[in-house]
Amino acid sequence: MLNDAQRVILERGPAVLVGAVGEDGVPECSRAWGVHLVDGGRVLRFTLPNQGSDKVLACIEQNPKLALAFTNILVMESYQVKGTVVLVEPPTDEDVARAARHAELFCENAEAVGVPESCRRVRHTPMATVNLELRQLFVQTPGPGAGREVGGGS
Amino acid sequence: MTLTVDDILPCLEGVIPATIVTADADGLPNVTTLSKVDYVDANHVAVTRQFFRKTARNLTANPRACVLLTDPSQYRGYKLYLRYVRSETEGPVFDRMRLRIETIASLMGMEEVFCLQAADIFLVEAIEDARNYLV
Repeated sequence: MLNDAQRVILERGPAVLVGAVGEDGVPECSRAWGVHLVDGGRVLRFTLPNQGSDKVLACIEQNPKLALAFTNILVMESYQVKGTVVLVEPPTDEDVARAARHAELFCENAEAVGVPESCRRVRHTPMATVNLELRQLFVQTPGPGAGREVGGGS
Repeated sequence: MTLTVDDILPCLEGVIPATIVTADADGLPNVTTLSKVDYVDANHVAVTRQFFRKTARNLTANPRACVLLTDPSQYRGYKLYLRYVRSETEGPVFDRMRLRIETIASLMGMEEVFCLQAADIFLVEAIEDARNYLV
């Protein structure tokens, strides 16, 4: 579903935010780390941090529909994928390493656009790993094309 | 301690972009980056409506939203649980936000692209200190 340019964004320290909603209709959000494609590009795998994401996980238990936006913060090129969570499990050593590498690249990018160096004091500890089966891809880059579904209707 | 908007004013400076999550009637969430979240009073914030066609549709079906804000000095995150109240297309809040958007657009060379359609006013139902949410 993702083309080569979009895959490159995933590999180079994007800002990643996930959105979920439980049965009560209250949306939840969290940052996500270590984002990468598996299963032939059909599934996006990522970790959720151990602070701020407990409610997202609770939502997923009730409703597996999830949205994830990823942004190259150097140029504000942004996309959103939507799909269904097919697996939640404890992070592996590889997941933890990917999350740490992602956070390091993100901080490099953040500093390049003027975010305070305090970002570097942050250490990311994954709480859970999520596999998201991708169903839809949308352009999110600010501008008239924002919200356009890639390969779809709206 | 119950937080109000007055307790998180540095987050509204716009140094680190905010994110809003809404959901449609079928429970499908939508994530969008915000240009600006603005102070209205201790219990209300205003959000810029520019390109957010899906967000606007979702709020019609489900007025609840979650916004993630970051204090740039401490990299401390806050989640705001919001309920959509109304949209304003004139008045002091709209004018203040339009000026801010025009400034951002000018800095980015995107004057033709950035256009404030409305200032969406939300009731802040709760603020959660997500602490250092990257940790």
